[in-house]
Amino acid sequence: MSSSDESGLIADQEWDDAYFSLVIELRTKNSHRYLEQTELLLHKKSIELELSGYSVKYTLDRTGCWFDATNSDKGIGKRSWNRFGWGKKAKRKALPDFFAKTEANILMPEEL
Amino acid sequence: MTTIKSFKSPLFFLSLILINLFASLPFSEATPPLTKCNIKLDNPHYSKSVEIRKGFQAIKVNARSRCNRQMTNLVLTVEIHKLGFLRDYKVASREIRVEGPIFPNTIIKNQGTYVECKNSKSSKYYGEAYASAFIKGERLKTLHVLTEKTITVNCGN
Repeated sequence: MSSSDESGLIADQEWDDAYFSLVIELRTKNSHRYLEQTELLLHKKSIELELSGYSVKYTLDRTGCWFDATNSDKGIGKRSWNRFGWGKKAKRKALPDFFAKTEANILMPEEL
Repeated sequence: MTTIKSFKSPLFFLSLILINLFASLPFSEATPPLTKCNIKLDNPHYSKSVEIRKGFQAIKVNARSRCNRQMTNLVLTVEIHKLGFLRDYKVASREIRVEGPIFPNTIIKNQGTYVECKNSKSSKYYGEAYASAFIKGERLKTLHVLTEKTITVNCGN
């Protein structure tokens, strides 16, 4: 493995450590809000909110959930989707973690 | 349990990218491409950080994009697919949009695409990545590139 590969590997590992630490922190800190958001999203199928300068939209589809975030000032957008399964029960179980994960996507330094 | 011992080695270097002007010209095989743009896509791998910090396992796919020309409106997408009985299923996708400009040879990373293991059912996963951007006012798209390996892991989703 070349030195550039090694340094890249270390940088990726550091990013992973920071990212997943943030996911855990958010999941713990915002657990109550995520549960409320989960119920609201299951009821309305789509919700919008503002977070750290991003306009954020969550939309449920048949098997998963879309996350779409745009920061017009920075000219950056992030979009992701995860499969949870067909049922409401599976979605209810997975959504709090999805909220934590997607908010971490916004709060992490840009991957540039 | 199957484990991926060296997830970044070898990196799957896929340099097929831009549908450029030469694609439609005759004798294009003799003409060098206008741009040197590429996506590097790592093989799917267990994330050590998730396992250590979150106490469960997850499969992750990282990608990096680089181009020797200035770009705007870059969209870099990474997907994780699971092999199914009748067809493959997309289980996760993550897209990064940068309106730009992005200076030549800047590396853009998309490294937050992962899927949690919900059980220990043996499953097969592969990654896919693609990008689009404006270069000199023209919208260019990459081919969809797949990870070199499809991994079999005890990670059901």
